[in-house]
Amino acid sequence: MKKNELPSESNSHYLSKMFRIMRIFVFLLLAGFLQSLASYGYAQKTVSGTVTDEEGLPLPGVTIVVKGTTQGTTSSADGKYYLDNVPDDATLVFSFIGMITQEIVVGSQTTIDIVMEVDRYGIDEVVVVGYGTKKKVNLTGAVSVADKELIERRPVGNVQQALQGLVPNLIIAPTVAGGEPGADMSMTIRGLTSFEGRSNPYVLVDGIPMEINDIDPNDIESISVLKDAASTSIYGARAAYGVILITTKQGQRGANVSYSMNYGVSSPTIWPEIVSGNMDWAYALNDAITNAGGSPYYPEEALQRLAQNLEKPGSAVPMLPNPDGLTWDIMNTGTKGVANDDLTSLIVNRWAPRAKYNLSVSGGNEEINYYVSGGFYNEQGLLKFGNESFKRYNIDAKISAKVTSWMKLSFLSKFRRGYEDFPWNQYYGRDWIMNWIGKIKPGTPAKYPGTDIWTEQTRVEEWKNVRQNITNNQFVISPRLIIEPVKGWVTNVELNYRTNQDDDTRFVKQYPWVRPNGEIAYGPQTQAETQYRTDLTTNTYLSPNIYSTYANSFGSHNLSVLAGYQHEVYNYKDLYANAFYLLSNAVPSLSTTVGEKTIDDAIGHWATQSVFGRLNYNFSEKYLLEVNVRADGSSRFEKDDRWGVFPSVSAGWVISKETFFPLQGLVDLLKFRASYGTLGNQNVDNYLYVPTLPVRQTDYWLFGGERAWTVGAPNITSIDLTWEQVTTVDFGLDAMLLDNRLGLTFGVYESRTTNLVGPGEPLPAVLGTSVPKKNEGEIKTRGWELELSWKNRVSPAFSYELRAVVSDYKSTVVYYNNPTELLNTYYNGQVLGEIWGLEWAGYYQSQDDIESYGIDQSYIYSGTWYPGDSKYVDQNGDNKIDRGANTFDNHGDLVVLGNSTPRYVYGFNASARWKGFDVSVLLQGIGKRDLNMGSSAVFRGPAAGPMHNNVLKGHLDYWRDETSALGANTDDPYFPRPYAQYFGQNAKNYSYATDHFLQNGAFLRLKNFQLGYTLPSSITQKIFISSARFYMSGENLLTFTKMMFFDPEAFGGRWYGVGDAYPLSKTLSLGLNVNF
Amino acid sequence: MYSCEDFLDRTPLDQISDPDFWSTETDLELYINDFYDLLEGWWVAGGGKAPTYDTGTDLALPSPNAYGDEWTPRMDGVINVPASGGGWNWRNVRNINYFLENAERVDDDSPVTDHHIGEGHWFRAHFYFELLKSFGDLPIITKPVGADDEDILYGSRSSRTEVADFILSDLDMAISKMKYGYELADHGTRLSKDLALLLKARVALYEGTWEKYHQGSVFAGKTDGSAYLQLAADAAKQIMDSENYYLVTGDTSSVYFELFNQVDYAGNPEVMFFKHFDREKYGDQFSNQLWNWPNGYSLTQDLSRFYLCIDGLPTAVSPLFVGDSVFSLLEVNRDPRLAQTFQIPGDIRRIQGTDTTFYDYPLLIDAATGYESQKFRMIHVDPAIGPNNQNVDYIWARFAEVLLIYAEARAELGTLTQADIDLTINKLRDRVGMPYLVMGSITPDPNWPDYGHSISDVLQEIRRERVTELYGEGFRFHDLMRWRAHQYFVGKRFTGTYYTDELRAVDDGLPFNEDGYLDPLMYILTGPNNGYGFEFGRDYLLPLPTNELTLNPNLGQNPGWL
Repeated sequence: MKKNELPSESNSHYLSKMFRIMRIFVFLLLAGFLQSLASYGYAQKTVSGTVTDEEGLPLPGVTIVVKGTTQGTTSSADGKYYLDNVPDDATLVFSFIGMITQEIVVGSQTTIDIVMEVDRYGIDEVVVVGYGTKKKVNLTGAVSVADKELIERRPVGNVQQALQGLVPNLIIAPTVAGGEPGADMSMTIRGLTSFEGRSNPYVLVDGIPMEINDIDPNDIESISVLKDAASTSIYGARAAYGVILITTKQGQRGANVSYSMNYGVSSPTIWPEIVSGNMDWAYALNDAITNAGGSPYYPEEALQRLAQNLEKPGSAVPMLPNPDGLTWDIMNTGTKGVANDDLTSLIVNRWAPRAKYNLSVSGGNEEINYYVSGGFYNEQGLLKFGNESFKRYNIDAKISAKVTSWMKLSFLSKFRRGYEDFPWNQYYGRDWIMNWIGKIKPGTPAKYPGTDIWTEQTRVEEWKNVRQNITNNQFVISPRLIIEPVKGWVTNVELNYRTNQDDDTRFVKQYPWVRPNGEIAYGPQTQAETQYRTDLTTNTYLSPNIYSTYANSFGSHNLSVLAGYQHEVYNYKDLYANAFYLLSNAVPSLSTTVGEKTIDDAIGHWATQSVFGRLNYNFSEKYLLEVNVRADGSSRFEKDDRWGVFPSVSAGWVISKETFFPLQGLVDLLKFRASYGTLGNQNVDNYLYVPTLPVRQTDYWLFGGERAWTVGAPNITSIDLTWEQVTTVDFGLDAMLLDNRLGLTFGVYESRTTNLVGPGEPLPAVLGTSVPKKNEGEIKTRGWELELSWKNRVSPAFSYELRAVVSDYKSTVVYYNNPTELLNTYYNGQVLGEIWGLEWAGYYQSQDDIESYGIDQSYIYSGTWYPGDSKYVDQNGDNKIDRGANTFDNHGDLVVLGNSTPRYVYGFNASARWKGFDVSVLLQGIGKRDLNMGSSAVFRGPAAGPMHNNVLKGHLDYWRDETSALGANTDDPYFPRPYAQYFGQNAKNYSYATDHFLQNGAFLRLKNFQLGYTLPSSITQKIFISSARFYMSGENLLTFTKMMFFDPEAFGGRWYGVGDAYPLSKTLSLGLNVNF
Repeated sequence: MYSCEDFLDRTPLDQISDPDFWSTETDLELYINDFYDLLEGWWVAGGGKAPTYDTGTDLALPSPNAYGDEWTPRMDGVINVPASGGGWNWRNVRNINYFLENAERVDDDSPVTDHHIGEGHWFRAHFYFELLKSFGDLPIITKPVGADDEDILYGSRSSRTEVADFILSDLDMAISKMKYGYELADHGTRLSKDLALLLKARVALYEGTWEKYHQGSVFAGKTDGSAYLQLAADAAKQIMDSENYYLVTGDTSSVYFELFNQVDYAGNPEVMFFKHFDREKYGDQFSNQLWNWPNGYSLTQDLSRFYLCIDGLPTAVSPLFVGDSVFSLLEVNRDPRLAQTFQIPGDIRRIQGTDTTFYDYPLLIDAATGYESQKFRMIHVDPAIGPNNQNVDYIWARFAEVLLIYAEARAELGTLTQADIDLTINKLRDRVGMPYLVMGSITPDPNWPDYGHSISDVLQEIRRERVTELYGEGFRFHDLMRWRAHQYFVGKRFTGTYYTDELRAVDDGLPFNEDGYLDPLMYILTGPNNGYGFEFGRDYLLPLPTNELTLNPNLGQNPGWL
């Protein structure tokens, strides 16, 4: 029987292992029969020993065979083996699936201990691909595999965090939610993007579409990232932006109980440091308001009180009552307060705990196997009194059984429950809380005088009483049938069903504050304004998949074909209810409210239908060819534009197998591959082609005392909308050198996204509505990626491994229907991410300077300019600064200042083992990136309204003359003259991006450092533990960045642009992994 | 068995789609109701802050902290040409055109259907009037524009006179189709024939005076305005003659104040159209701070000097004038509306149950002129719900304006009679106990504003009455524009109260002018003498956004803008 690749279904480890075991049996049977005919007459003895893995753990189940005979055994649970009647000249063959086979000449030895090494790049390594598996050496597309060990090792909260930096060109970055407990990150593959910004990769867990963070990272067996069109086109319309295939663990032979736990503490990585503990911040705020024409927030009398409080905290009144005696003379975020309470340390936790546990039980035999795992993750937030928490519970259970010799049945189920408990705000939601914290002025008193009640400005009382609780439940079941009536013809029937039930409940209870006269008042003022709001959202996804594969070999010709059918139906139904006036604060619910109640809903659905096929051919595993095609229909498009066909082709040449290949011995593998293919994207909103009239109730107008129902106008419908298409050309090479020690994968690609759905040609505003969406526009993305690895086992006790990934891409707009080339939308030739703005020419130093500058800057701000305001470069020499016609051809003085796309995203991993010790380091970073920060109120600091600012360290370097209490600072200050207006006069300095305020977004971060120790098996076995490892780990320990104030990974924000994201965490943790 | 196509046909389950709509008069009502939310109320819709509609003119000023949110940038001529937006917004016009086009699908000629169609015309007139005030010439669009309607998308603008005629024709259509207010179940909160007449009078007066005073300038219309003034007078007179509305009267020292802080105007004979606030019905969006001023704006000394003395003579002439440099003198012997508009120390700030609080001094950070507003203030605070949640209705239109339109239009036409004055101005004066205005025996006021044109004494007094009666109701800026009154305010700064030692003790270091009056915009305005920098060749209209001119060169920029 010819050895060839046997394609099988996803989740195929079980099956492919079964095949391999069968193959071994057949081989042993035949070889043994022949050998038994003639093998007597040599000296014979007993050989014994222990088989361990690289970590020194005993390895059961290793096959040990006397070469050329049927004589053999397998290692026992403690890794030991005994083999009688071994001839002296015999060679023992040690083999185990997934490990490098070793041959040892017995000679005079009677004890042979063997360390089996994982075959990471071996000839037999199998990679999960769409609807099947493939030997890694036979891949012709761009597929990256995330090292399972690197994922298992990272004691992080979710899969994204574990994957970050491991796969070249899989860019995972925090969103505006930053490091909020439970926050997801954004993912893109190869920088592919759409005008609509929907460029998420398609994530399948065991073949079922899911969110990547819905599973416990501990349950992961393998992750494949499919990057080029040839690899993903089997998924057609869902896969335009790449595919991530996750396979979870299954039961292996034998029985295994595994327990892991990790306990850690977190603190913010980079927290904008507020100036406090001195008078400087008050002087700066005073300068800002007087620059804006107002009177100082801190007049002389207040400054004196501040000075007293700095001298001796609490010695002066921190805020004054208003004349009415009922309210305080303090502004919204504490401006005018002069306390010295070190608020940041009162409000922000030094360390917040997090913990992670997983217990799994698995096992099996030839007939049946099972895997049941339970995980729990609990993360607390960084606010001392916010009590933010995120909890996730996972259960992953599967069982698989052989029904007959030709049929196998399996059943997968997954359950996830997430629970979030956060402070909330009645008007702005929870997103706003970090924004608020950044704005509380250092002089804000923590508590009302003589009470234990926190001041309104700190919002601590509000956090306790105004909360959001979110519960997410996800349940997945998938019965599956695998039929193989004829050898090589395998048919899979799968039914994937997923349902989500989410509950987002918010309530507002009254919370106290204290009036100057000592009376307790409440916010909300009356019980009637207390609120209860709940959103129940439910959805179901149902998708039958049937696919069938036939594989066979004819001489050196290896062939397999696949054909399949899939459809999907997605339904959602959401219910929203809101009610006022809680009767009791103790039991908030709709039933216990007596005020106005409103309900609303959202109901909808979509469906797709698809057929697909694949042909694989190779000649001697030397010349490789693959062809895929898929046709998809989607309900999101009108009948005539509904169906799309997406083909791809890829080929490979393993040149190292050629007899003429000169470097044999040095190069173990060298393969060139190329692919070409097209994909679709159906990710547009539902019903864009149907004119609909939204129903709502009047907000602001009562008719005869009642709110009335209304319907609104429909937008212009987007008819003729159809698939976006991504066409990719990919070239790559894979190489293994120096006895498989050095590995290299390199790829270059160009993707053209055509028929992009976006707003049509810009139309004059008299249209009166948004321009209907159209399929027009083309983006070209070019990039490359490189993966280098080196591993070496210096001795059985010492081994090490290095791995580096780096990638880069650039996207340009090839075509967009913008005939006038207006700059406020896409235009032909635009490099995505480019930042247009004005070139900065310094600050005006004096009135004379302003008058003699000779360039009219009134287009930017037609009011008065002062010393300390920005000068700009007159690019086109017309003696005035403007944006011309705001088109590419006539852009006045605007120039491209930089680009915000991250370039040269890299990761570096090093690990080493010595006896029981292991150590690993993971570094990550971005090589080049520009970030325009001027639009952020947080960045502008004092140059923002009285409420929306704070004085951070670094902000004190602003332009001021000698009239400032801080003394003159006119010699090259970084910041301009600040105005305490929300924007107003700050327009002079911040209404356009400038090179001066562009921040360098490049960074290098020590993402993880870990030190572990595995107890010797001699000790653990005495207590019936097969292995036990302890480790300590640190996340985000060091960051090298030139960025001001913000974390280069989490500089985003949900209010006022940027700068108020929840900070990322630095985490120190201790963990334990035990196997029984 | 299903076919492939059936399986993929998935229509909306939670939205009304157009083909299912437009069959009954209820559909018309549902759609037209949506537009009411767009009509202004207290500063931010859904409650919120005090009325600031005249802030940034000569009558009220923003605090420097709040600079930029009101009329100041226009009066100061510091508007920039925007890349997009800038008020050039046609969504409302599109949406109302969609209504007017589809309303014909309702196969029903009932009075209710007619009324709703009339509301549609009213709203289109309203939206166009707002655009006219900002931009002058406009494209006239009478259908929902499609992406391929190139002749509309890339068309040119019609002259402002044609636009005004278009607005008035919409209002005539509304007048012919709508019911009178008293015929409606939701009288006062739903538009009526009376409101169509009022808007007609308002638009016609606006355009009539604009075309009269801007004649010969780059902003001129096509007429001398007299036809519009006649239409204004006729429409106003029609409302007066209908006798559906009349002025509220009462104690002269409080009737005016009390008109503006009521919780429900249903049945009020003077209030023609109002927005009703009810904190329970608005839910969590509602927070009304009408009790707790200032909100970053305050009244000017110049406003106070419009108010006559109680003998009917101007302050510069009257022997009863005792000065106004300290708070305690301001309201002595003056038109009672002054005391009911300005807040001075000693006024009641709040009555909460049995607890009365008095106003003692201004918060100068927010009330930079020193004068907070008494008009609109809600002083009766319900202790049970606290001061932030008072329900005070917003008067969208009241009968006093009708009287003032009639008097002004007749005076502009030169056809004003003493009988007209008795029917209008003197009715307003009667209510507060002020002496009558008598044609022919008007004492000239040395302080009459120089509006830049020679106008009659009686017109000066009518314009004065418009200030003292309608201050804070949002007319002033547009009045100055239609009167082409730049002569009056360019190069001037309007100031606050005298910066007394008492006030200095409260807040020292505030800007004040050479006469010792608080001068909040001293360092902010950019025109001649550091006053308003309005450029009369440019700033009467707003600039069109750059992008729009690039997309459609046929539009053309407004005069003076590059």
